[in-house]
Amino acid sequence: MSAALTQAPPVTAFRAGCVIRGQWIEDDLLQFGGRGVGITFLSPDPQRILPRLPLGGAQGMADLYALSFDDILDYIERLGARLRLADNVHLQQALEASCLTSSLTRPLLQRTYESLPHLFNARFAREMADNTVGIPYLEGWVPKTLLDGRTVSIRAFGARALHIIAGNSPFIAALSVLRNAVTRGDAIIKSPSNDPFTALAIARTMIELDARHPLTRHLSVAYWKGGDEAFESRLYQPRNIEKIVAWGGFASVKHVTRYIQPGLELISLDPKRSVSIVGAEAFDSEASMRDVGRRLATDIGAINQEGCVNARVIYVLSGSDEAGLSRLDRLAHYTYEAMMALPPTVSTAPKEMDEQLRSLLNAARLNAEWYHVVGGLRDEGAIVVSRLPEPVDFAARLGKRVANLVPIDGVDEVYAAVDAYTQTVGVYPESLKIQLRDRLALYGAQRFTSLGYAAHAAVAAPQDAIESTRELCKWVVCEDCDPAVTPPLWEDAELFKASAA
Amino acid sequence: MEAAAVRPGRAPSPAIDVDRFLADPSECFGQSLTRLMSMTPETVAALQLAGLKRRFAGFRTALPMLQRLADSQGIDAIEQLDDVLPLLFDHSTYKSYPASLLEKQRFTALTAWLGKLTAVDLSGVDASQCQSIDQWLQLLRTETPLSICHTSGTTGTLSFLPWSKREWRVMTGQFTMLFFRRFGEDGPSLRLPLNVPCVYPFFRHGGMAHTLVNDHFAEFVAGGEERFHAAYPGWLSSDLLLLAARRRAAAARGELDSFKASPELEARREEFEAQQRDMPRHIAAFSDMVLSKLAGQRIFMTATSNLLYGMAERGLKDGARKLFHPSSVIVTGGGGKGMVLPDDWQTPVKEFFGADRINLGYGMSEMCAPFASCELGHYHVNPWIIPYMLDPDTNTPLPRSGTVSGRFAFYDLMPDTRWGGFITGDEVTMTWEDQPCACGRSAPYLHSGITRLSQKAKHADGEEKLSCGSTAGAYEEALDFLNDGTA
Repeated sequence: MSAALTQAPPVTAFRAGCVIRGQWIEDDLLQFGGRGVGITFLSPDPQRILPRLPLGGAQGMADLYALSFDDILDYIERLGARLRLADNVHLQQALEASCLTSSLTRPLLQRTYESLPHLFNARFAREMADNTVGIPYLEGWVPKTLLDGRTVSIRAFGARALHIIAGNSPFIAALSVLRNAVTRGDAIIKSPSNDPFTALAIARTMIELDARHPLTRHLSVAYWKGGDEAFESRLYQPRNIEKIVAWGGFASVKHVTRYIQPGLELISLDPKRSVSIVGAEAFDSEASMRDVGRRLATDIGAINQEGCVNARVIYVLSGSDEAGLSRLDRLAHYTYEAMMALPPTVSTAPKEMDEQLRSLLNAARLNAEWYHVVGGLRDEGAIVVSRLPEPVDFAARLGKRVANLVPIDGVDEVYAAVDAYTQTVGVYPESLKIQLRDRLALYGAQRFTSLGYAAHAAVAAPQDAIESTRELCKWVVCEDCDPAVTPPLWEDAELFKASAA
Repeated sequence: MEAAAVRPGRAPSPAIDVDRFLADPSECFGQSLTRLMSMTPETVAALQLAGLKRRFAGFRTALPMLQRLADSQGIDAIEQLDDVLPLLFDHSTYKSYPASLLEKQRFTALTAWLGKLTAVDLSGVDASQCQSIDQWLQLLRTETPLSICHTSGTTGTLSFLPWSKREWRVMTGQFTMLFFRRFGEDGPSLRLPLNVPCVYPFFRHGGMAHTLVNDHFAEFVAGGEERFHAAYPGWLSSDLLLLAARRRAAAARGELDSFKASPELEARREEFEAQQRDMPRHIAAFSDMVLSKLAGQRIFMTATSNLLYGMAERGLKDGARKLFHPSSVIVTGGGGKGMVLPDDWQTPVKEFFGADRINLGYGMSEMCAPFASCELGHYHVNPWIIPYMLDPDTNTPLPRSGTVSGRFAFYDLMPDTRWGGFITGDEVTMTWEDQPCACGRSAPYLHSGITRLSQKAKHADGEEKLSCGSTAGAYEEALDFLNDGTA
């Protein structure tokens, strides 16, 4: 990314490169991207770099085990200090490129980049590692004496993993680097075409920080076109990688499943959507309506509704009779107003409108007996109130700060809306969350949060109802068995019997 | 063809009565394709603007959906062609009813919704007893002047287009002029019915435009049902077609596991089992009819190009060739929407069917009669259609001169009961009338290679467009699904 950084023209050619274990490579460049991406960029010929991408034998991981967990945290802290947008040229260039490729607007991207030092912070990394894996397991063998008298020690080892990341936020690239570091993994990050430079910028900063450090030498970042089977079928092999972390849409995750085989497992962070549920308490007072409006606006509008965490359909216990619909209309207006008033670092008018969605919205506007559309005439975002107690038919297409408020008469009506694709459920008030969480978890909901915090998720927690950071590790067991305590099989011992001792 | 005699500018342009033109262009031009397609650009422009003003004035308050749109845009009059652009409907308009109305058989509400899109008064229609789309369409057809058609079900929803029976009849008149006459070779007037046997390799009846129009082809082309030969005599069920479309949409979203047919469709299982069971018998009888009784005759046939190609491939392999008379009229969609055929697909089709030419048309359910392709492969805009070229991203109008690429939109002046303004999802290249085609027609034309904008959407969203090319396959899959409970 050393040259050709010009702004503005519709198609800008960026010079990318790739990083393979501490080495910056910019040979054999091919052109990628184009109209569909917003830019073209030059990246090394995937076929040429392919032989160098896999770590090779697993013995290559040994250097990571010369590090203590404190060494890792120290490295992360030092890296965080260098990931300041104001003085990191790689991040600055990545931001410029992202402004062209990303669906996010500049203020949102800038805020995300500016947040990187907070993420790469020893205290946060420690909390994340401890809460999602358990530092003792990362740091050494954790022994426990079992009922039959033997001692079982468990240790989490890093794995050779391919991270096929999504590009809807630069945060995903950063989180992947961090998870790889704390688990002592060897990561190959496949950059997405809508965020081709963030992971690369972090990797280059790591080279500058300490090119020979094991954490630097166990991160590779490259680009190839997703679906390039000639390339993928050679790389995606158990001899090269042990795990694939796949983020993204249904088609792309489904595509990856064809390479899964014994010895190569999939950690699937597949497509999710989120809903919010608002209790009747929202209508208690003018102040509560305003409060709920602002919280909803945030769940809808933050990061411009580009995340799976964002609310799209919102079920409101307003009642579906005329009085209920009129309450709901008011809430819709408050929500719309609050969304327009969100700080530009949190939410802006969308970068570009989904033309199909605009057409659906316009058609809804012509059907006043079924829909009440607030806003949306300037593609700035809109709230669609359903006048039937059901979501709009285009619920799956909601985005670009367009959300749908659905009037319901009882909480039972939300069960049907929650399934295995439901990630976040933002709930108001807190008592309703407690009431719903056991039941909705059975239906598939994966995260409950206070209304207004949907897009402000905890990093130190499982994601999509799986412990993806734990799964990045190989959980190895070491048993110590003393025949005097644990009766041996050669004496025809009964299985699963508690020790007498 | 005496091209020189019909060059634009040289053709006489007598004053054309707007009302006569709007009522039936082919009749207005004595069914002369040559005269129709030789009008000067000035004549066409004047005719179109006058027609558009008349249509807008007539529909402004008669169509509630248009009224609401025009009110919100503050448009009360049309002064120039571009004034109508903010008022064009698109595919969303015709499916803007909540899908649950179909699932819950709320056909009274659907009728009320449809009533906002047509000038035909539907207030007296009692649809409360309808339990299926098939029944509802049938009810509207018997009790009102409408014969509404629907699309194949983009993303699992049907668009309903309130055509009137009169509009279908007028459309058939234009269709026969476009494909039974040749430009520059005006013979004696066409007399309808033409009494030309019709061959249709799909269902005789159904709610889609290409099955619905069979009623009118049977009357005006075949001159009687006895000369209309469809592969399957029954109905292409709209309910089952929707099931097919919804299944495909669910599959694309990865939600096939939880997909179920409605109890109402399950209840009709016997009907559909019989339909599927009888298909081989019907297709055998159809083949027999075509091969024995119609061999060597001049026939008329419409079919999608992939269907024609598939039939030709199989037929030629079986040793059959030159089935029909060389003057047979075969019309097919040439838009290439989602179909992959070899470049020379017409060669085996001509060899098998025996027609000396294959007529290509670009059209859609929303438009009265397709644009017919000339000898140079250009789709000429029929003068009752006002074409617009729009920027695909912003929908702002592009210049009306030279050759431009963009989103195709139009105002169809023919319909007198529904709004003719429509923005398509097609990206086309258009050459305007200032650079007329060498074929001699003065009308602007679309180039071949028409693509759907959705197919090149910036972020592929996994949605599958069920194009007319894949209807048959989807319908059969749905039959399998319903009858076996598997598939």
